Amino acid sequence: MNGFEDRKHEESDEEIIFLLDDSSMKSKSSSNYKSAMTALSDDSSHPLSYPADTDPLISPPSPPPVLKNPSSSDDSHTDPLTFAELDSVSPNSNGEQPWTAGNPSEESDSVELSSELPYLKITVSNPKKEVESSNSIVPGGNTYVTYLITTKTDIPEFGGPQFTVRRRFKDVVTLSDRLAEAYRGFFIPPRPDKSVVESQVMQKQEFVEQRRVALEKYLQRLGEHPVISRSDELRVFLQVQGKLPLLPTAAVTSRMLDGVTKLSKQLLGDRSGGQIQPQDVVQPAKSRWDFVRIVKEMNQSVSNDWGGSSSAIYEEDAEFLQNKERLLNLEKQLTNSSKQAEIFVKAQQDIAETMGAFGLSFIKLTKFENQNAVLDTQRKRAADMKNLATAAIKSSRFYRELNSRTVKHLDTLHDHMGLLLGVHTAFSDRSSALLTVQTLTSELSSLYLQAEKLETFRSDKSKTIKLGEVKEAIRVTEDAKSCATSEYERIKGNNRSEIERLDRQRKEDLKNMLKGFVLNQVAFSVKIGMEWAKVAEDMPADGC
Amino acid sequence: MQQRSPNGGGGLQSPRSPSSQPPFLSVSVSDPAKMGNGVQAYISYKVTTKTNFPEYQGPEKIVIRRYTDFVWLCDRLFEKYKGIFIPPLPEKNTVEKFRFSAEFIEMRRQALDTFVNRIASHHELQQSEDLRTFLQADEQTMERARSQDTGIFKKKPSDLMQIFRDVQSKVTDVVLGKEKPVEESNPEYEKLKRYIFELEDHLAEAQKHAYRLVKRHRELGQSLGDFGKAVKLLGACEGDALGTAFSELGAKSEMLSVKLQREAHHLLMNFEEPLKDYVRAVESIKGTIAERANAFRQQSELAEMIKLKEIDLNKLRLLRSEKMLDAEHEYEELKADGEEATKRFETIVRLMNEEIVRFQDQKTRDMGQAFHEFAKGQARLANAIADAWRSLIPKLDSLSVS
Repeated sequence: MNGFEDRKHEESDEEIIFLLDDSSMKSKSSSNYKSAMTALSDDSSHPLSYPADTDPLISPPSPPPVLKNPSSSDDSHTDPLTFAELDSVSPNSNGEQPWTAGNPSEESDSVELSSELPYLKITVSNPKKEVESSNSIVPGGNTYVTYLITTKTDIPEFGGPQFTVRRRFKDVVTLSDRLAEAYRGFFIPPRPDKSVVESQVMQKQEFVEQRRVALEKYLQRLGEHPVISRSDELRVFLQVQGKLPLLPTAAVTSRMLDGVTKLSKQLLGDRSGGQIQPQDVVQPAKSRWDFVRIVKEMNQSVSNDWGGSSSAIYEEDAEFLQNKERLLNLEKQLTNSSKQAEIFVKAQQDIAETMGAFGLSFIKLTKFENQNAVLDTQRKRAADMKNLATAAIKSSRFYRELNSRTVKHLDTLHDHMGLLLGVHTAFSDRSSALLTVQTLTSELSSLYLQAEKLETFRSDKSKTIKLGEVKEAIRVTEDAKSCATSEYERIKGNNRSEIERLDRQRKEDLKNMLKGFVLNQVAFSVKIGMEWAKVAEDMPADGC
Repeated sequence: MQQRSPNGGGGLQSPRSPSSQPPFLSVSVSDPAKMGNGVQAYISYKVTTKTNFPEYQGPEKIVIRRYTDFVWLCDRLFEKYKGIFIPPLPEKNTVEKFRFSAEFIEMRRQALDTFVNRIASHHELQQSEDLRTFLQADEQTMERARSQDTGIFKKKPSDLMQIFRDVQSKVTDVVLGKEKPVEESNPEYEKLKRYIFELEDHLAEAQKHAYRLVKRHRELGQSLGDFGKAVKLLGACEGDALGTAFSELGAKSEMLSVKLQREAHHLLMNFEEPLKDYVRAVESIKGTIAERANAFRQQSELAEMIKLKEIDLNKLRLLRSEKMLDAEHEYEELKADGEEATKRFETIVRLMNEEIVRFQDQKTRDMGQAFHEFAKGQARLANAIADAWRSLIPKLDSLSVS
């Protein structure tokens, strides 16, 4: 008798331990969407869930025998669907399983990472504290954190399948700034925030972990961009050991000072230094020589926001305006959907946990009744309770597993919401390029006017010299304008191709998301339904 | 309205003969209606009795009763039928604010209906005069009966709860070995008491989780509905086939949201409520345990007093005192009281033994029913979810072709 009881004790203790693990998981969830979602998706290590290798993104869970449809009252099927039939519902002409997404023979059809795209996978790990070696006034020096960045790729330019490098956050900021300069008009994923406030408020470990996750996501996205993944900047960042050989973007003020010196030299007629190259003009004024233009463009850029109307620029491209409108709306809807998805996923998690705790409480009741049973009715009740509890715990596991997959799918919404943020920069690149063109155009017209006026005073020697200068200025400015115009056209082109690329990728990803979401919901609901149908059969309505 | 088959002696279902119908007493509580205004407002219920018991007036009778009337009946039965597990009443006060709603009223009505029916189908309780009053008396008589009680019996629900608490502390003390008052030394009974008290804890926990589960269903429904709405807007933005897919997803989500809310309600009424009823029943048993302890104490005290009186009497006999006659008289009275107390105690013991069997039997049936409803509901829900999502698969597959 004792031995039997002990065994039962062990059984229920095991269950208790599993569910205690469950409650410790709860305390890890934070309000940060990313970490909440990823914490859930790390669920594969949860003892109550299935082993990690049965990920239906790669292979379907082992199909059970033929399904029964127990609630025949609202049963509209004629035939019960087996998992095999479920798969063959797909209209794929070659009859392949629609949800074995990892299957290479099927890749070209439904998966975004088809075999045509090169492979580039970046992971960020192993944060380490390091000390600032030089120029430390404070004894002990400044400390900062570096992260180990591991890249696996088959892109030939990288010259190797795998390599690692250590970088700090400042390096990432540099990379991001250089990319922004070099790839104007592209939808560059935004880098993680500097979050000075958070770094003070959060526990160091939490903050570092949050940052690590964010960096990984950011770098991975860069790696997925067809143009940026081939960029020198990214390659240098990922491969070159030691100090990052990219110049950090100079501060605006130093540039301005630089520009002011050059301008004053120009006005004083100093031709020796300060030869201005037309392509230099093409950069936004804040980085180059025209101090006056800096002021003008600063005034304009205040009103040049993503959603606002910029009265200074005359944007005539109707298609562009339409797209802008559409993408703005899309960003809003993605944000909203992503938020609601997060709430839904939390609710699914909650029901899984509560179902498990509920089952456990009935296991305890069962054990109690069995220990104290005097009458047969008590034993029968205990047996019934055990049935119910077991089914509850099983369905809790199913819900949990379903949820970790749901998270992976619905995360797509969040990802694309993030990608759309890159659009802001791309569009403002375009706006500032257009502003440059238009500023130069108006400058030109005033120069021409000046020249015209000076023409009439040909006799005056000083005015003739002045006319020469103005004509020279016109020549320079014409060159600058044609540079600026081609830059603008280039950015426009980038915008257009990026919008197409983004739309295509998003639609593809969302299609897969819908499929994955729906298929998993079906598969797990069927399993859960079967568990409960069995219990309902074993415990008929009259309670006998 | 359910016709509960009466168990035990009064009302076995005998094969129907044209001359005599088996005796039956069937009651239903229905049609809750709000009466009065403001602070004074209360809910009244229609109580319909159908019977062929000779003591009752006619085959059918309808009266209007309120919650306090039910409490009165419960108190009277508790007083008169010691040893019997009086069916439990739903709680008077609710802590959770959200339950002051149509849902709460319906739950209470159901619980009151169950309460009266259990009394009506209990072979002893169904004979009660108080039950007859409750089921038949006009409102004035009922009110008079109710107000009389507050003076004489002082058994308000709060008092009842106090008794339970006292019993709990007394029994727990005994169980823990803290106190040694006059207590039965019956190992089987000890075991039963311990069982009842521990059972209450386990049940309360299970009921707590069941209630949380109801809430989770509601939350899942709500969030799925909101997700559906958001996804519909997203679909409108995307346009083309993908947009249509999204709006269908949204539509299914909203539909399932409704199903989830419905399942939450079903779970509440058909599972959580029976579980709560179980908890209440155990509390009621604790009251009976208290009564048994009282009866035992009285019997023991009287036995003590009788012994002392006997000693006194013998002393007086020896002294040939004039007080002897009075003492003899008192002694005889005490002995009569003692016999009565013993009889009362033994009745309670006998009844409790029968009641425990009946209770366990009934609970196994009640719980079996509740479990069945739970499982059925979950299966139904899961299948509805599977069906809804499954219907989208063909449309999603056709998306890939583009």
